[in-house]
Amino acid sequence: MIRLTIVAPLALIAGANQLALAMGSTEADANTFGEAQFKDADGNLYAVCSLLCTERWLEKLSEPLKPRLGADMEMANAVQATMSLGGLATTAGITAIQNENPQAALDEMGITYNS
Amino acid sequence: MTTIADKLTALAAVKEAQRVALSLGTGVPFAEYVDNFPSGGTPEWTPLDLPLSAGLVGDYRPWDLSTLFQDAAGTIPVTADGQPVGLILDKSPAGNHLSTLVLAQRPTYQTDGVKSWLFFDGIDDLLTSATVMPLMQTFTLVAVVKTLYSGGASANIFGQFLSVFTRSLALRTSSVVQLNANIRSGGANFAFLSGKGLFPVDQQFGLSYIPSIVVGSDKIAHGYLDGSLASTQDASASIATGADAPLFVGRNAVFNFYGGAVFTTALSSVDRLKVEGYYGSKRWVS
Repeated sequence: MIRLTIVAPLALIAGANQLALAMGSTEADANTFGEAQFKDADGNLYAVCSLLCTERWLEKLSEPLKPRLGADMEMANAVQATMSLGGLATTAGITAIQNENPQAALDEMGITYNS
Repeated sequence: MTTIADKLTALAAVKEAQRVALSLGTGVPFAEYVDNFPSGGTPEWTPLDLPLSAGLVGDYRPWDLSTLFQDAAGTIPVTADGQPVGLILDKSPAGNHLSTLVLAQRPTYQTDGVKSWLFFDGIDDLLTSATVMPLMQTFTLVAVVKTLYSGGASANIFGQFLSVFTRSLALRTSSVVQLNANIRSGGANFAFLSGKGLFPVDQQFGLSYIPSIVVGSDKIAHGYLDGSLASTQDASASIATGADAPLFVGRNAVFNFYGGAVFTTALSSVDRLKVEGYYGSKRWVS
């Protein structure tokens, strides 16, 4: 198992949840990204999820999606196309980082709690 | 040539040797030899030995692999370090099993080969009971936790929670690292008001603690840390009735959960110490 931490900018949270649903195991995965409780240095808001997954699951995240669990595939595909692996979080797309320590992953992406 | 009869005879001899070593009667099923007598002959006391009137409604033992599953449906057992946990069974008669259907919300089972715990990532890991119960008016919460990090100013980590209806152990880091109690019934929020700290302010990340919160019918909150009374606070302004709420463990702090229990009564000091000792022994057992 590897740990993957994914951040979704506020405008893409709904689509990111459709991507999570298309990659998920139950309809509840449509609730993967919750409230936008994190922010970057410029104050832009993000929702974050952090999960354990297999190498194969990570590979599938970059492969063409198959309709599953009633996911809105248009939204899911659109968000998937914005995904980048590593780097600072951006409002242009979702960002995923593989790091065993989720807090270190947030640091890598320049994200902190919006407390 | 070894026959089946020979093997059965040998197996019977092994069982009998174990029975004698554990000082058990002949009527005890073999399946109970190990689980019920781990220390070699003395039945282990557990919170289940308290009378029903104690009101045990949640008893979570992450070192017991028979209670852990990777999926919320309970079909894929947890068998090794590093696997996600989608369900932890409640050992109490109440059956308040904690689970999540969301893949990303699953905490991680971790073990060093002796001690075992659930790691919560502080981002989205959260297990809740499928059922709700009346917001507790009297209660005892006991947990064994290692505080690792809290990016937020405050975080509920174990107890009963539904939005603004809360009875929980909490962690706040607004200016210091401090375990606390969060008691709320829709109005005043006990935990996070200035001056309401129930525990000392010198907790540190990376250390493990046994915090307990006891609230009786006098509506006074008692905070105990590692068995000793830390302080008492008047919680009468925030202990009113409210919406039914589920039990939970997780939310917005990074911590290891070594186990814990929820009671709907204020335990006596004797019983509380026994419960703390039970879970605490799983933190330090060697």
